[in-house]
Amino acid sequence: MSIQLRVERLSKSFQLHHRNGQTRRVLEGVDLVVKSGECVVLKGRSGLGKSTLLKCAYGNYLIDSGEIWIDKDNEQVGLHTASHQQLIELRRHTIGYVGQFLRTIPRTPTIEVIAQPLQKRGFLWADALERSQQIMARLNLGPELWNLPPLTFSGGEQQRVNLAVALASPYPLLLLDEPTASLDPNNRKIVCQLISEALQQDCAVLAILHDEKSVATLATQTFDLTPFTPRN
Amino acid sequence: MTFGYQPLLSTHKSSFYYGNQVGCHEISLEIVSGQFLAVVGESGSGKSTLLKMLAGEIEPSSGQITFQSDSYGKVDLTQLPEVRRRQLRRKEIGLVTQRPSDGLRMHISVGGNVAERVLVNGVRHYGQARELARHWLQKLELDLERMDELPTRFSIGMQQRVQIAKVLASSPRLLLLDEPTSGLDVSVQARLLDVLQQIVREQNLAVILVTHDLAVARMMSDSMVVMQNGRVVESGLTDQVLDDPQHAYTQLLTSSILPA
Repeated sequence: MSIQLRVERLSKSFQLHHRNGQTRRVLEGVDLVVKSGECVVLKGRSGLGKSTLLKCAYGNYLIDSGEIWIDKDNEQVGLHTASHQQLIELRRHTIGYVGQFLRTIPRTPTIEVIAQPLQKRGFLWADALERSQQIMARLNLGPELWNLPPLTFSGGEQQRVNLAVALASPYPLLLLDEPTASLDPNNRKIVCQLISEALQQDCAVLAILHDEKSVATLATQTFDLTPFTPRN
Repeated sequence: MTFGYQPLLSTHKSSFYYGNQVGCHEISLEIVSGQFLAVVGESGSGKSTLLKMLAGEIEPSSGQITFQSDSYGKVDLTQLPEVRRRQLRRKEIGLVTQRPSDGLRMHISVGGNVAERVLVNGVRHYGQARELARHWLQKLELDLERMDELPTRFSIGMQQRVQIAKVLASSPRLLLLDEPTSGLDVSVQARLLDVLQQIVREQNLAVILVTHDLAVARMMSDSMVVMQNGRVVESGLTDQVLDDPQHAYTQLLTSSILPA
């Protein structure tokens, strides 16, 4: 199995210029590998930096030191040195991120929120729409919701829209920050099923998951971040 | 990563001084077709000066501005003869000003404003120009029944859409937007942003959006530069700059937003 994500000696802190230049050290010296077909679940109490690590791997947070290597079509790309355009390219084709929030332009219908990234990845618009419909149907987002903007949805529905974007055509690397947090048991099961299918298609998954059932179903490995937390 | 891309426009250490006063200082940035770049910062930080410089309305004191032109190939805007620069400004580079009245001719009709732009760009037949005007006005969701009225009879939000229709009618490659939604009702703003994004996608435009509204910047843009006192103090992908700001000034900006 090929290595999809390799994190080496990653350290991350936040310098707060308007709090007397205080520095919050969050992660220090993280080494982590996620192979394709593997689901690594991050462990550790809340506030430990699990989300921070995911955000670093998406290029949403900059890192202080260390390296992050992503496999893009069998080529190793250093996220820590990537240009803005390379990052946009990696996010378009290789790395999918599902966070807790959904941010969209107020009037854009849900189906387009899902189809637009597909179009940018090279799907024809008609195909992108069809795939979007398929994934929404699987995620229990009925046709009556397709043309409404997701801002009118409940928390659980918005979360499924986020998942739909990432799973409509799974990215080689999926970073999932509590993807099942606001879902009922039935929808949680469906989401787990979809993630399992992505794993079977050789996606690599790095996830934060809190409910034990999902962890038991999906995790091929757990990774405890506690040893990489500096004592401030 | 084997990876080639051609920026549509890039600046290299472009500066503009108002006498001894810094307008903007050594700005280096690039923009790619199909992408939005947001320029944020407080009033007086040099955002509008930068935009005027890119639009070719003012000549940089120093530095280069490279533009990939349909008509002239790769050119340095600062070296281009004024005639050609004016040509680009009318066709390939579209500037939308903050106040619609600065970009529109207020004494000719809404339809005339848009049709005129089309006629200047080589469409000879008036009927055809009017047809194109209708197309763009409709695209911006304006009432075609009212296209023979003067812009003065329209609300500011509608005038702004007329101005955008006018600029788009010449099929620009690069769209420069100076606070296009400031002063509009939020519902009007949301609608305009939605339409803009749709058009940008369809036409594969590059857009530089000057705004002081970080929420708008977050929704619309791929990348961002933060300006303070005429300088770029930070740049990066939009979500990275907003979620993990490095510079003290950016941290101040992002921590000053009231959650909606």
